[in-house]
Amino acid sequence: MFFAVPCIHAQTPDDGFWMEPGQICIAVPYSFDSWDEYWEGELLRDNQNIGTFKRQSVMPMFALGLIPNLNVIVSLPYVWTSSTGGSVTGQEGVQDFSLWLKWRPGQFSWEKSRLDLSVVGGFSTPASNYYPDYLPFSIGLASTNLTGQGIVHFEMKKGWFATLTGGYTTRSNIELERDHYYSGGQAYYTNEMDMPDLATGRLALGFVNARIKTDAFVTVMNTLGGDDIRRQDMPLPNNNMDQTRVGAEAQYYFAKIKGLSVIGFGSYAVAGRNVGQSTNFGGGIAYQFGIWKPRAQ
Amino acid sequence: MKNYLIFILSAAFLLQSCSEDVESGIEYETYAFATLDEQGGAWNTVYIDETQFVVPAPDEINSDRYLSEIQELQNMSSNLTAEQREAVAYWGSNAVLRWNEIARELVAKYNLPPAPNEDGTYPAPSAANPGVYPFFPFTNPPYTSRAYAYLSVAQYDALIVAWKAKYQYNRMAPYHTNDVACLLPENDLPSYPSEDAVISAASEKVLTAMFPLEAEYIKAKAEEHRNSRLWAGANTRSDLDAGKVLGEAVATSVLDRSKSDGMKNAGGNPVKWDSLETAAQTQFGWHWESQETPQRPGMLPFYGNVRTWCIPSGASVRPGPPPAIGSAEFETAAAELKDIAENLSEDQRRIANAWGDGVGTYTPPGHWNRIAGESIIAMRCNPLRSARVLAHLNMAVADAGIACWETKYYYHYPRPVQAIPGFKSLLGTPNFPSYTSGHSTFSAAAAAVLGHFFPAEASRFDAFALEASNSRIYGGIHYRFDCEVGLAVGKTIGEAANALAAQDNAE
Repeated sequence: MFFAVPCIHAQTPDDGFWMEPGQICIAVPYSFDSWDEYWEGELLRDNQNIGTFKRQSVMPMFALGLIPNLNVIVSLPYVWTSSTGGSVTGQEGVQDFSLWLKWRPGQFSWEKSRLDLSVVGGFSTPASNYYPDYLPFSIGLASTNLTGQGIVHFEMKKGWFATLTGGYTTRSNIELERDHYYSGGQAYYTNEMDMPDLATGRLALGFVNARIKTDAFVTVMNTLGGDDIRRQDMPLPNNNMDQTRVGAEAQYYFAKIKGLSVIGFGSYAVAGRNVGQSTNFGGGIAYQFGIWKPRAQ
Repeated sequence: MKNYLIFILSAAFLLQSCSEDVESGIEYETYAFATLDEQGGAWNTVYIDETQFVVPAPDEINSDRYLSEIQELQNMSSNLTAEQREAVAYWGSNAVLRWNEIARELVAKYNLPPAPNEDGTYPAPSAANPGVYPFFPFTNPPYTSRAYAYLSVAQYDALIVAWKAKYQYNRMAPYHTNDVACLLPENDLPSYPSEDAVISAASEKVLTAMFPLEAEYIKAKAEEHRNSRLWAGANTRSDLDAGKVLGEAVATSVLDRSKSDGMKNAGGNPVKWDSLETAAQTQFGWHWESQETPQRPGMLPFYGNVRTWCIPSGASVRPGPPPAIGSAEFETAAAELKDIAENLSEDQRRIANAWGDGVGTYTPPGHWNRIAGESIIAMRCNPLRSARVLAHLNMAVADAGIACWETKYYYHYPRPVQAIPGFKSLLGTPNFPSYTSGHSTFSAAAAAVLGHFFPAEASRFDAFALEASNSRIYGGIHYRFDCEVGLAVGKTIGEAANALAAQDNAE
């Protein structure tokens, strides 16, 4: 896709899993996205001046159990883009710093299962002055975002689980380095660009035990407004970018080294609008350890 | 926990307040004119024979017909809707600016290159079938500069005739002759024929010819424009009718020139394209090749033969050849581009982006019209004087396009991404030969003309032109020699337009 939503795994803002107080998890996933075709509006097309588009990222991520039922998660990806066709140079750099607070106010337990209700507040902002108007090569869209989302997590004692996440993101205007653009059938004479809000959703079905956590998921991103890329036009950061992805992920904890795990994931865009039809896969390691001992209850 | 929530809520509030709607279009307050140019009717027209255009004498201000027109205005002004008041404010007192802005909007809308066919060929827009994809026109910089020249020349020539009739008949505005409230700044410019109706009709005629698919949109704009003069209490219906007839007639005459100016042959055909390529290869030992996949025919290879306005022909200002590929001078220029690509500063990136003016934008000619509009407003120019500035600006910019394209296809010089192994550009490389730079030629021509009309700002315009020129080097799509030679040729063309202006009785 033109702007890939960071691939999510391991105690993320989207899932139903938790760090105990005093526990920290450091994960360093690498992610590889590529596409040969993109949706120009609703038309799926190739573009030999792009050929195969590639986007790679390394995203150091820290998740910390602060107090019972409250996790804080921060991440800072480094992203680089390139293409096999055409003569335009790719971009690379530090993308957006993000900070998430994940709070679990509701827990309901039964004999064989439990249900968690959580809310998440997220903030992200560019951590470098990368330029958002070089799409598809831009490494991000450069808006400052606030996200609110709710998570419903149902888990059987035997390990089967289902997680449903729904979120809403409001995005700041962005500043372009040009003070004229044409969008939505109108000419603008300003370097400010209004970024429409986003609605996101995710459903994961999976299995978890002491050694493994795995699930299959569907994610949906819907930009609430914005214009289609016109025929043979350049994309704009405020385009109406939608996409639906299906994928799977797994995390395996080694028995011999406590807290160390490997993660792997992959997904595919099954539907979209104004984004690339990308295949994504990646993996990395995560290490979890205690930095303080929680007070005994 | 409460503190976190307060933090998040207040952050959400702050973010919401910096994500307010961004307004499209240009906001400006209407203004009273600095001068009325009472002698404007004696200025020389650019193209038309003004003796062929006679504005009939108006009704006397004590005639029944005129008084019934006054009655109409009085009735209207007591029943204005909010939309009508908005229209009055939008069109303001100098609608030359709004029509120039409408043209920019249409240029941005139609500035889309055709997508390739399945078989790897490219369709071309057809003036005969404008509604069949790819829609006509593709407003690339040459097309845009030419359209602007016709628009501004038609407005200017028609306004000269209008000014002559205004001071011949001296019929004053309804707010002077009768008790009519005026929503715009009042002035002593005779109101028959209406300069606004002249501008609206001439603009409608030219823009409809240039953007045939927009006929309805343009017509609605023109009608609203003329009606806004009634709602404002600034013109009577007969002021408007006479102006409309005049504007249409002058624009029709100016458009006659466009039918035989050579634009029809600017695209050429594959045999002719090959002949250009072969000629350059034989004479210079190089030729440009499209770097797009599939290879796209070069943009308007024979545009350089189009009829010019201020210089004898495109070829008449053709500069000497660029350095041979592989020569020391070439290698120096190539090394500079590689160095910039590797060490691009924030300022260089900003400049490359600020002057990009590529696909989906108003193009460099549109950019310079915008700059001109800002100075026109600052100097509170009346419509006639505004049209004079824009006519000379756009004739020079059109000639810059013609001359630059003639040079481009004569020398057929490869772009950096073609000639420098492994080089990739920050900006998309345009699909036509490198030497000389269009941005540089357009911008130096425009800066020279605007500096002539607004001398206090001359150094600012020159700095803009230099920045626009450098932006192409920072973007990795032009060698420095493309830009430096382009600036020099552009300046020559701008000075030719200024020489015309110096002889038109207005100075």
